[in-house]
Amino acid sequence: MRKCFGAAIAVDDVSLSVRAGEFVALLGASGCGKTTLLRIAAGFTAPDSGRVVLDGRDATALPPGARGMGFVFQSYALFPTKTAAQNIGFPLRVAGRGQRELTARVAEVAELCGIAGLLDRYPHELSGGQQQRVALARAVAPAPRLLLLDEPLAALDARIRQRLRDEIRGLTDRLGMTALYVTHDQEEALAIADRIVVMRDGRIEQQGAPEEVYLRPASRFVAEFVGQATLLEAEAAGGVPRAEGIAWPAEPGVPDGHCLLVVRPADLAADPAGPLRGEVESARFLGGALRVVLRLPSGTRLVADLPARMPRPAPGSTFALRPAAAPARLPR
Amino acid sequence: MSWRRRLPGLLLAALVALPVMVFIGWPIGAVLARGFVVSGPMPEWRLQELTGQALILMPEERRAAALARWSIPRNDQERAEGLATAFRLAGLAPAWDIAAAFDLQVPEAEAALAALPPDARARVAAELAVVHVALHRRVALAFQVRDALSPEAFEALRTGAETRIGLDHYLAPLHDPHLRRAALNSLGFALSACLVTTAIAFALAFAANRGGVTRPGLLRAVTLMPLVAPPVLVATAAVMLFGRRGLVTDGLLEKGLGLIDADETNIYGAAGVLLAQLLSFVPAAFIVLDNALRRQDGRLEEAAAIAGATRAQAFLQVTLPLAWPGLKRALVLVFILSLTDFGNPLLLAGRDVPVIAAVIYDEMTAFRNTGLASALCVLLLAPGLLLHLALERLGRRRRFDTGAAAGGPPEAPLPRTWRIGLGTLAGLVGGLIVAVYATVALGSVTRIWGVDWSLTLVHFAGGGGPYDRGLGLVAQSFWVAALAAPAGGALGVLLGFVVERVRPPGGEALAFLALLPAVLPGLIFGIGYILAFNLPFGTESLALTGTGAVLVLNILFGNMFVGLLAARAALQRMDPAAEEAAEGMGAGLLRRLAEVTLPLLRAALLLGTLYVFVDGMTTLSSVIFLVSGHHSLASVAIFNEASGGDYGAAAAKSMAILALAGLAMAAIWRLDRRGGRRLEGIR
Repeated sequence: MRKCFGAAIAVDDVSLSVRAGEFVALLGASGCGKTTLLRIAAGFTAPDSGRVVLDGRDATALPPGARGMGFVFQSYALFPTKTAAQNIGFPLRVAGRGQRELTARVAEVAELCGIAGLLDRYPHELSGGQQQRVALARAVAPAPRLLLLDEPLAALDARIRQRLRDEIRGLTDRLGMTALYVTHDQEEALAIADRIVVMRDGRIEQQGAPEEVYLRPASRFVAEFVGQATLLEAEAAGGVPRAEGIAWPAEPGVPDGHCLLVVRPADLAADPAGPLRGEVESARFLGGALRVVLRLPSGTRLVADLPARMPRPAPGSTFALRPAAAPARLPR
Repeated sequence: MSWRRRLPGLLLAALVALPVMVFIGWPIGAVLARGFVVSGPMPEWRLQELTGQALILMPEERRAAALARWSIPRNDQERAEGLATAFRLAGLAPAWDIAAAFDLQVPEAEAALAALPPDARARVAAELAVVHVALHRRVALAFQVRDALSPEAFEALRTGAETRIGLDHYLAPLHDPHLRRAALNSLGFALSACLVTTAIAFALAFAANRGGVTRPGLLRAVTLMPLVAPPVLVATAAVMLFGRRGLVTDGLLEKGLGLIDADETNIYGAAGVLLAQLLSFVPAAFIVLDNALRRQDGRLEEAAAIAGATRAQAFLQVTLPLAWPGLKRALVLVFILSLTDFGNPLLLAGRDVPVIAAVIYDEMTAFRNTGLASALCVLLLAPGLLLHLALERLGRRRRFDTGAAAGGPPEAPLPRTWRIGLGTLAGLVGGLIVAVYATVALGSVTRIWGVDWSLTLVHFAGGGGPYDRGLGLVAQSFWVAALAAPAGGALGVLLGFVVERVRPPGGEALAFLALLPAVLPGLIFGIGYILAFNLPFGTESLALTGTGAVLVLNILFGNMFVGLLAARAALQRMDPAAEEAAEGMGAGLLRRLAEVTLPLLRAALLLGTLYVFVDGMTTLSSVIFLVSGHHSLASVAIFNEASGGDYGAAAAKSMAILALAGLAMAAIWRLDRRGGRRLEGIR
């Protein structure tokens, strides 16, 4: 698959397949081509080369309406002149469903999406979260084969974002629906998807289960984009990588030579006798953890998430850490 | 201490309010009032009543003698007229031919009287005596009772004419068949023009915003060109192309191909008026609809598409309902523009197809009947207002938010058939508009259009002398517009500042007053200036009509609303904190205005100035009554020359005006760009 806008390459030799029932998140910074890929799948944008295959059949030339997909827009894109019920019923009505069936189905999906009491309201009479629920109900009403979601939560505030995130996943599970979900929020992608596809400059950087992407990043970009990490230059010999003057735990089979260690905040533990000794730069209470930034004599900053209940070290004081788990490795 | 803080602001407000009230409020109020003032011969019943009252004033015995003497008709004419009047006053129609010779009427009238039932005959007889006095001996009666009457009452009785307050002018279209025809024609033109123009403008705006044409920028530029057209440019070009001596009708089809007789088959008539109005008003409707469609979120149409809707379903159920508020505005706008247009009907249909706006023009210029003209002006407002209210009712059920998130147009191309249809329409309209300008350009260098096709520059001659073609009027127009423009722009911006920041009591009403010339027909504003400033307070030395100043003032106050609107919009977007900060640092009102606020209103000032200038160069409707022998304007001359068939002179002046307007726009654009801000939408 390839798509250019003028001289800019939006999607560059990307190949992606999604299994039935799978929930896939396309993750990347803005401008990485993830939305373009989604819009090609929907049929809004035509690819310069490549094919869209649905259930084994070539759908590249099919108009959007004939692909049997649902699409949820970041801006909701609800019809302002129609009520919530009319919005949800719209795809059923243009498909020529009978009035009784239509009413029943609208009530059913409204119930599923938690907006049963709001069906007579116009979009401008609904809150952002409610509008997105209506948009979601409209997308799933005709029971599409594939649900496409383009940053559906980006315009909402943090609390509603988390709740709706879980509800979306619950909905696709209950309906057994396949979903392709675009987001720039790595936390959201980790929490919602079966598989994460990390994109960069129009190409796929890595794809895999959330644990795999987080714990075994394939590149420095993925390591830094997904989750917090400290990258350490390391030299391995005899299966043991050494960095910052100490030996780090590792899984078996480390080849000799240069490598990069991806140290996650949870890979470190507090230990008064620990080998990683330095000056506390900051210590912030995050509720679930105590995040300490420690500056080593070499100038390297280590970020560690420590138990929330331990006493907070004063900035400027001396503090010590030890490796608690084997960090991921990147070949140099 | 608050009043002391507010005092400078209130003084400024008063300073701005005074000219607005004098030069906008007064003239418009004068038109409203003048329509109710009826002067002229009294109706028969009124004459009868007044005569009766005067007779009572006479001493008893003299009255009886006078009545006996006066009630005998002196000839057949008096007898016939008296009988007819008495019949009418008794509530009966004269049953004979009152247009016949009087000596023939008398016997018939006597017979008709004799044939009446006794009670009706008695009623007529009762009226008859006083009727003869009222009709034929009133002067004698007036002098008999002169001492008992006030000078005005004496004058009224003597002349049989009076000035009174009445609805006669307003009711005139009900019983005057000519006015009734004109009113029906006006409504017919306005309705068809607003439907056709809005439909075409919507199609063009849709094409420009949804990929219906490959060059939307070009479509916008060409469609908006007639905005800076000199008056009746379209109608003039239409006559030059399709008139009796038109290039196409006479030159090509008759002389070239022998297909038609151009004297019979030509543009003149209702269809021609409609075409000219369409091309003249498409830009205004296009601006409204282009704006409405551009702001629509293209995602909505994509949402409809993925839900399975066809392009037509998406258009009818999503795009069209969302554009409804814009469509309503465009419909009302074109309706009013057409209703108040007199140039196109006069040039292309003449007096054969009368319309109210042209009747107003005639009543003012030919008959000096300001009362009827004023009333008709006010009546002209009613249909537009009714249409507006009706459309508001129609769409009121749902108030929705049309300002969608900035989404850009949908990416998917329109179906091929749509693109072909829209492209053809755009080509047709664009082609006609370009043809209009090309025709006028060609006409300005053609010796005698339709007769002598040799090229010449004689129409551009000016400077007096025997060959002067009046191009000097363009210079006069330029000076009038150039004087009015900066003052109008500045006054508008200042008023905007006063309303938004000083907020004096009645500020909103003042802003509304300044907006009135924008929504009222230009005819009203012109007539108002005649009524208000012909003889202000009955003092001749205050008279402004006939001077150049009246033209400057009319153009200035008729267009200052643009600066006002632009300044208000800018100030509403702007946090007043900067001004408050300056006040906190001890800056007085004038210093704050000069150093903090006005620099931010630079774009509004430039736009307001440009608008006054361009409109001053091209306007016709409000100044046409105000020009005089010494102080005329090119736009009025163009109208007169085009009406008189002098197309060369009209075209040459049009080209000169276009050039000046273009220069002014370029100059303002440069000034604005140097200021680092972009001018948003000219007009």
